[in-house]
Amino acid sequence: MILLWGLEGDDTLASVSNWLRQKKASMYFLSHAEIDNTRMCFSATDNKYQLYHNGEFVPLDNVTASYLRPYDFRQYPQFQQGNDSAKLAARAAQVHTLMNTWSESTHTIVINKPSAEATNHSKIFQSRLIHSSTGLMVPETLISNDWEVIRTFAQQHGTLIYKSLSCIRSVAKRITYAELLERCDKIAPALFQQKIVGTNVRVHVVGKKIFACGIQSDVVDYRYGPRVIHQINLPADIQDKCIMLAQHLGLQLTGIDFIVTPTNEWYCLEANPNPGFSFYDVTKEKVIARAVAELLLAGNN
Amino acid sequence: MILIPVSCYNKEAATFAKKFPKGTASIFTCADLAEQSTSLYYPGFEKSTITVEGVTVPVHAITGVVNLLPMILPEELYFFPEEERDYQSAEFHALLTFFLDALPCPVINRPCGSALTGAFSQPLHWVDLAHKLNIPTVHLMIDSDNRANHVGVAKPRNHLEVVCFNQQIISFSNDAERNFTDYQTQAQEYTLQLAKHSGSAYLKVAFEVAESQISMARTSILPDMRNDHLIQHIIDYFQKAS
Repeated sequence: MILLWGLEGDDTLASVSNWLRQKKASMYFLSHAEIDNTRMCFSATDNKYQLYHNGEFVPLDNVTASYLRPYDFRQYPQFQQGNDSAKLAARAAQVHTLMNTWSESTHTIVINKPSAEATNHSKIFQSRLIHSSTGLMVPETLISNDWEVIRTFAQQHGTLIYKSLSCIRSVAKRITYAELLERCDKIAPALFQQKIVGTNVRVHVVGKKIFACGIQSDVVDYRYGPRVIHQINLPADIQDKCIMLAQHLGLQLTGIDFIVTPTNEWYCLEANPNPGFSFYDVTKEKVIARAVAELLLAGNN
Repeated sequence: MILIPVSCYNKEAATFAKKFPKGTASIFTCADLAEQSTSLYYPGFEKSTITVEGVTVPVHAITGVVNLLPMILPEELYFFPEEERDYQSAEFHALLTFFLDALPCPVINRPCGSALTGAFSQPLHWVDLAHKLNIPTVHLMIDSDNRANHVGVAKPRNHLEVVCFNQQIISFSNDAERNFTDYQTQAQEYTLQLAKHSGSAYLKVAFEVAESQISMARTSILPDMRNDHLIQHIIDYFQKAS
């Protein structure tokens, strides 16, 4: 049985679910929206986890592969109001903890284990892992709260990009040297990065399969503006390095972001451990979703 | 310089720092990172500097780290407006994870992606590791429907404790009223295995003794600031490493 944990309205999870249905796979959809009706237990005596959903026992022993796309449950309406919201949140957090430890302990395929996803909690920590494990180029990065140092960095690199250090989703923004000259306000240490000029490329690694697309867009963060997405072929060495990176990070599925300069230098920006790949899966047959479904099915055989 | 990252609410840290040779150890809080000049580079980490007690410190001058900051709670960031603290706690966690991991000197304990002070952030991950290593654990039931269980592993009774540092056992202690020295070898072996497989430079494990068997009950990866024997080992280790 393949376990899917996420939201019904999530296009990425739905596209995998559709393929699994076509392939007549045995699956169980555990709605994350119903986390308040989900119960998990663990007994150290026999090292067993038990899962219940809407009162129904879900046999984790029968799970051969799982795809986990949980969300921040604190955003759900039942956790935002009412006298019991704090109690409900503590209970939901415990379900998360137990699902995480179960997914770390199981020997079946998990997309993705939380410990592997955690490298993305710090972008610069992950950048160091990317460069040291594969030799892929990464942009010059500075974390600083000192405007003098930031201006000196900008003098070397021209326009900078600034964005969050953590995995909290933020919109990457551009800042010019001229704008930096005006700044003297007090800031928390922030991440400034050399702006790499070139074409955005997103590579999805699913097991050992590779899917690459180029994105044409005039905005800094193409997720928030007009763009055209088209499939491309990767150079063999970049393909090898992407697979090497996914394996090094322990990720069964990852979305790796590159910018390719006009002189064909490939800069790796980050490896997303829980990519919403439906955004990039522009083919009619949804090839990335099919590869994810096949990877999950491989655990079933 | 020996750097000791701590919570600003840790009242014992200053005393702990004084146990190191005079002037060698400095405590370091999120307020130091936020309110004084901090500049970290990658690539080129060796150019990075932080500010400690008003002095700019290049990263190569840091010869060792005793990391006493397991997580960054929003309350730690009292100097930010309240509405920003949740976001900034994730940002500071990300910053410190990189900084402590990138330092070339010994870091006790070096962070990983999911935990600032070592391999695991959850007690249950230690239980999982123990099972993988065939180390018995105490009887433990956790149920998301039962809030009383949420804390995880309870304080053991009839316990013995083993402290391991740098793959050496440095102390063994009994429950005050019982003598469990018969179990010493087994407990030490288990502790060394847990330290090795979790990649922990420092690890304290409490075992419960029941029915002629020892079972792992609790672990701690935050160095014990009151253990002078441990501190001497850490000082010697840093001196040898530098």
